[in-house]
Amino acid sequence: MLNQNDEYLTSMILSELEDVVGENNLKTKNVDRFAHAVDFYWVPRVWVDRGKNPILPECVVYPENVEQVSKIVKISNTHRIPLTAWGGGSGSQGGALPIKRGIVLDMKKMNRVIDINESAYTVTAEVGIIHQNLEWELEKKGYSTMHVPASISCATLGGFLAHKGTGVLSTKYGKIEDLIINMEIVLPNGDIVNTLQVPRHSCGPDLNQLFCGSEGTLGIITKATVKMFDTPKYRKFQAFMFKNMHDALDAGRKIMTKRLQPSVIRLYDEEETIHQIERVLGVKKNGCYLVFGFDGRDEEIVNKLMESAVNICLETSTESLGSNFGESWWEHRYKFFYPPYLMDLPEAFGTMDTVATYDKIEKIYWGMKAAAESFQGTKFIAHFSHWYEWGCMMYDRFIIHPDYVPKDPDEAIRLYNKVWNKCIRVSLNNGGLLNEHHGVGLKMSYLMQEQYGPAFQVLRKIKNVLDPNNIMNPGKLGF
Amino acid sequence: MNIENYKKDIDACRFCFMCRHVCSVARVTHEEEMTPRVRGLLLSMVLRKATDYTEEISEKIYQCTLCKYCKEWCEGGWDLPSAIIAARFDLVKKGLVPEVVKNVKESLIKFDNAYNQEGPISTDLQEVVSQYITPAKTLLLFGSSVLYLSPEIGLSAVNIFKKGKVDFMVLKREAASANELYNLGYIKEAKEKALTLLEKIKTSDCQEVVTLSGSLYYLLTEGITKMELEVGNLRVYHITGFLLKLISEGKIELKKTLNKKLTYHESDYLARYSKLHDEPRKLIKQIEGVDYVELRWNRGKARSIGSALIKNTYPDLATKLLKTRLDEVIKTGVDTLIISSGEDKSSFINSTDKPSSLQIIDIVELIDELS
Repeated sequence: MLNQNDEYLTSMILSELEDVVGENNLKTKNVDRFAHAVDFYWVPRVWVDRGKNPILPECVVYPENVEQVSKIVKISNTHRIPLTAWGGGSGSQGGALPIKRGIVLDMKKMNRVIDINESAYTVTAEVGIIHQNLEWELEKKGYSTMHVPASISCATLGGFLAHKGTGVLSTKYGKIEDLIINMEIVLPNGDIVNTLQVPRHSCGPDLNQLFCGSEGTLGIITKATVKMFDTPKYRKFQAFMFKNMHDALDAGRKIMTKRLQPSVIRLYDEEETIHQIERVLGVKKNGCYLVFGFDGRDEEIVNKLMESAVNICLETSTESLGSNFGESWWEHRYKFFYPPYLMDLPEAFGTMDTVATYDKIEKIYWGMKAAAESFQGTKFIAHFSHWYEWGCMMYDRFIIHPDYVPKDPDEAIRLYNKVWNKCIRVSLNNGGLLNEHHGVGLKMSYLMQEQYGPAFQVLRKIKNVLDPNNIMNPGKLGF
Repeated sequence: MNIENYKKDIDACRFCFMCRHVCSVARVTHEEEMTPRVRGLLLSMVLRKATDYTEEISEKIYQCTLCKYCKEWCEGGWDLPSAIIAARFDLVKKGLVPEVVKNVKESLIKFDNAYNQEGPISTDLQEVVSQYITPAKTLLLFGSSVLYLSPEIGLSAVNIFKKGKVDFMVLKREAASANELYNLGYIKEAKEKALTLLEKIKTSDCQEVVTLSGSLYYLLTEGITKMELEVGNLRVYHITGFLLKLISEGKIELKKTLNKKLTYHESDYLARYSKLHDEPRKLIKQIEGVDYVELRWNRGKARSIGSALIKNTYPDLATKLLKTRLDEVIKTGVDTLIISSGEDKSSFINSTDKPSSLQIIDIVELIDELS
């Protein structure tokens, strides 16, 4: 949009935007643009850590209603200006980074809770709401979306929808895509559309699942109705130690395939048991730490299900840690995400989550571990945190010791991507996927074609029809 | 640069998102650039010499209310507010302070208040000041918000002291703005004010100080050490603690009951600077007949309505903060809001969003009424 020859055109466009959102909601100062140039992705972080300036948008706009979003999208289309939606900016894949500059559309002023429907057990809200604020509103009435990841304090409902996020309790309550009832979306041509009133029907393909996970490349989600649940009266935990990954994974698989429906299972490999659990919970044990929980409103049912899961674990575990460690883990589950408990520079670290069926996931674990640790100074840690009846998700990270991270940011990024490519291809080549709940973003955009093979043309053609000018979050999701 | 002393805190906060939903300013503006992590990020770029301090950065640094909510919330123990004060020291040195802040600084130095008021507004209080300047055991410090905004609180305190036969005195002029100057980054001026106050206290020959001001209480119990000064063996009370003492010693008695549904809002100073949570609540519990309702966000998590500084530098922010807290109060259905701050009383009373049925009263006034 901006170059020296376009100065007056830029002023014209800024005037148009100001006319839509008002003077206070159009930001062009350097500090405001800078605030939207660094998210949770390691690459812009290392860039600024080394004192370099990140890619700035030309401007930031804060729409306050869907009509304003529609007008902004139309302006972007008219002038072929890249448009990137920004919720909490807490994504780890660079999905909200304005890499082609243009306009950043910060959704946080569209944050109203519109309706809490106590008959249908749904809540409707504008998607710019920080999810914790939505949860606090529901909590007043004894409800919850049960979508409660660590990023709840910073991420918006829209961000979760845009990249198919998940929460700590997803094993029982589902990922965000399982919670959608319907959505309002602004298409790349500015049209405001709504998906059907309910998500289960026989009226053609589900538009919810087209836009959910589209990471702002097919349209801007502006409002959503999602499920809510009664806050459980009982929530109980148990924790076990296992001597190895295989036994622990198998215990988890049995719990799931027996349809016991725990609300959470989390299995930490040996490295992460030492790295994280010991630091945060003070559990100094060798082996793999498994914690799981059951919740509900009937204590007898919760106890029965818990008993079945405990019996499964007792077959192969080395030690039962009882309920205290599990409860402590639940109480401190967000503490892991505060510095210094979270990984940070000067380490290089990447979250490479993947997902596969049970017959494949263990091989993927060992393969990715070997791939990561083939690089000097690199450690691989993993936990399995979202489980299904058919498989589970591995939340794995590589961590490169600062001594082996090049000082030059370009070299650091290239090394980072090398580790990434090698590891994630192990997953792709063994039946796993690029990502389970953090999204694709910028980080793995170039691998989408490889993952989908010929099927990618379906996504590509949808993109070409909906967004022929490629203004919507360009450079992401393989587009 | 002073911010070098806080590099660890700045680097910890610059990429962290865990407190943005509770930051007072980010919460009411919904703007990314108003979050703690962006302040940390900007300061980290200055530390790395990727940029120098600029007017834009300065404005962001001064738009923090220093309510310390981020620090209270953080499970990592990081102290961004101290880093922000350090940045303000740097900005003052560089002459990069926003004009609105300079104006408040002038007012603090000339008039010992942030309101640009030359003299106390109450003649009754001025009369008291002239009557009680003889050295006594107990020194009563009003604080600038009582002197200049809510003198009725000061008069109530004097009434209670008379009822309790407390041997007390007041200062002719308080030199009460050290904390505020420090928080704005004017360390030299802050120290001068603090020294002036300490000198006046020393000259008064008192054995104990009782203050109505959360800011002065914090200054004399903790803040003063940051200026490398000390109060010595002087006992310092916040008025709520002193009133509890008077009641427990039988020197004042609450004779009346109060059949009201009420709640209590605490200022940033009491909530998070001094963490003085229990004394006001114990005082309220002494009152017979009350139906006390705790606000959802209370004690260390009490939502901020901003200090005198933010009200007089960025009043729009202060208005937004006040509105959200008032909404929270109204939702409880109480008919009375108790506060323990002349500043906050003035803010709530003058709010255009305050329902006429909601009574705002300082706890000192209430104890005076009931004793």
